Amino acid sequence: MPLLSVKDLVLHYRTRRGSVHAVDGVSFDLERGQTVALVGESGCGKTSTASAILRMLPRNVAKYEGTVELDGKNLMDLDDEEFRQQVRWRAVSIVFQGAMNALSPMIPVGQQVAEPLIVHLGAKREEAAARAEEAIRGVGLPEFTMKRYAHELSGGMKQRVVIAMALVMKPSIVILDEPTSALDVMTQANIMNLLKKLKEEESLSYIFITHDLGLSSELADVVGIMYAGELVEFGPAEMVFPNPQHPYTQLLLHSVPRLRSDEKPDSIPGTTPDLVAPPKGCRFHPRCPYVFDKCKVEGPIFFGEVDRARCWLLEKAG
Amino acid sequence: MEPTPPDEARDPTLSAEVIPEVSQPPAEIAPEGPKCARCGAALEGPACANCGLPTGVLVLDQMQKYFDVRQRLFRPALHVKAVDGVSLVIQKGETIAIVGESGCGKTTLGRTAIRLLEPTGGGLYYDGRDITHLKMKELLWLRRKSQIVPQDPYASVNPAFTIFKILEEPLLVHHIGAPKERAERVQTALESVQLTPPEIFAHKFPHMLSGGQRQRVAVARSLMLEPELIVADEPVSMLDASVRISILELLKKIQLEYGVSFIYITHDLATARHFSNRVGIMYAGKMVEHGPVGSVLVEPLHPYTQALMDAIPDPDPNNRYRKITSLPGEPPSLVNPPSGCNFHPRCPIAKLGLCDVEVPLLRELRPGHFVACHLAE
Repeated sequence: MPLLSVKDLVLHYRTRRGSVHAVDGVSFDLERGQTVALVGESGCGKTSTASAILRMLPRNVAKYEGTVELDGKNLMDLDDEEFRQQVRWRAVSIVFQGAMNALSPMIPVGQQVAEPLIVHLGAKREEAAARAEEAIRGVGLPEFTMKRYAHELSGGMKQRVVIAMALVMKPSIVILDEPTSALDVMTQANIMNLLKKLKEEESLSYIFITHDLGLSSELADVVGIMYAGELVEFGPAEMVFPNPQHPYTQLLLHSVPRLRSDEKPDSIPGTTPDLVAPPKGCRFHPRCPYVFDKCKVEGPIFFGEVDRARCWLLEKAG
Repeated sequence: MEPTPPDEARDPTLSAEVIPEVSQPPAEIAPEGPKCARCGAALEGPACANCGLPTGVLVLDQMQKYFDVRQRLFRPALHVKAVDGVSLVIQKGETIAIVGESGCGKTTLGRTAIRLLEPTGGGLYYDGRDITHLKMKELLWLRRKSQIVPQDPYASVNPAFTIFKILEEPLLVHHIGAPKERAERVQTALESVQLTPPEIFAHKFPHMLSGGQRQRVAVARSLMLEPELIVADEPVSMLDASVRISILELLKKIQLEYGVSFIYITHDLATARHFSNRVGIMYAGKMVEHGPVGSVLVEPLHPYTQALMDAIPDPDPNNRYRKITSLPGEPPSLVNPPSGCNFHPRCPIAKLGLCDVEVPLLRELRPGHFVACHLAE
């Protein structure tokens, strides 16, 4: 049984122009100790997928359905209070994009790391502080960091504090939403090393959300490619990176400038569709070089056994 | 100020002749025969035989830019050595990428190179003219020849102006052309950045455009005065991956068409590899390695360049089994840089007694490939 199983997850936002189909029928499984990378361009719904899993929703939700099973238990059956007590931070935590800028400037970071323990577990202050200190050490920061304020730390140190906050309740799943996008390359490398080490030591499962295919390969055991609110390809890293099945994955991989090869990158023609009125049939068909009649009419289903992709071409190929 | 229809815009008789050549460099600074900008000796070949100053569109000679920070009243100011003795030559029609982490001085280098800032020391020469300490009023001609494409397309265009007005403004500032001709030049610029049909885009406001389209407007604006040198300061780092490549392809196309030289400032080594001819790696205000892309990024010789390259993954499923080379600590303070080599406190191969004492000079270890490291061979 997978640790986390997402089935037909739907999240639409209500706007003045109509409802935005941010997440439209996303299904995937996350095994214990595994990392699933969700990759796509901005606006493809990868962050919304994370919000939907953690039920951290804005007020303008138009439609929110599907099932999210954690250890076989459907989280959608829980009411908000039960979800908050049993799931959020205790079983599944998240490192937000640019979360280091959300640290309070008024409170020493150690107290901020300890806070979830006091709020969720009702731990005593001293006990919480001791466990926070352990978490702070675990992310490779010296103990005196506990007493520092956010402005006294560098960007990389703040990001480590935020990771410590996500780990302090010892969750089994951590969602990493662009955890390094505001950092310099060398700092990013250090954070990636830390995430690899923590995964090994704490046997964590990650959902790693990024727009950077190269970076996704640093952690991903399984890669999910998202386009316009849908998962278009999902398969093991060993198969998706060298031999992508979906035309979008192929073009996306081809648009990455390689540091170690002279192969010229190519841009993907066209723009991402408007999610208020996504294209009929396959959502990628207006930009797809291999488009044929069926693509314009009917939305494709998944084909393939291990590396699955949503494309009618694969039906043709058999 | 209606933009003229496209068939008129392509009429060649209308352009060229009407443009009055304003604000040319003073005649006495531009002599008939090529002369060295520093010592005045007659020039032959790629460098001055007398003083050794190389020739090129832009020559930086041990250029420094320090900023003063005064921490307390009546105490002497401290200097932030943002750019500390960088030498570089940019030739016509080439792109040189300046790569480094944030705070390494790459943006200051770009801004000083086109005299948006005045160098604190060293020399700066544009096309054989010393521009190191020229006053702002004497620099009007340089403002036409050099342009900048800024990083953030959301902040760099005036939201109250139409695209037409944004693009026309540089022409107005430099008193170029009659209204009709300005409209034509706006149209040509929009076409060359592929914002077509230009009539429609000209009347839009920036908020109606996507990030990539806005950046195209910023590129079009930099082309309005037909510059010879463009400083592109992280032109694509705010954009999505697939749009990024199309903007860089556009810059490449412009370079081939107009023979413009580019200083491409970026933190992204991978795009530097594909869109520039030469690359310079900066660390803490100094150039630590520079040379042809095919040499520096294929066989990096400086330990910092090596670590930087290792930190950038190409998509490869085997990456998850590796440990990325990491450097201890953080880049140093630019007020009080470390003794000797700036990089020695973080360097994995530093030799005590050498690297912390002596400042390494750039040495040419491969053809055209310079490295500032005592231990590189």
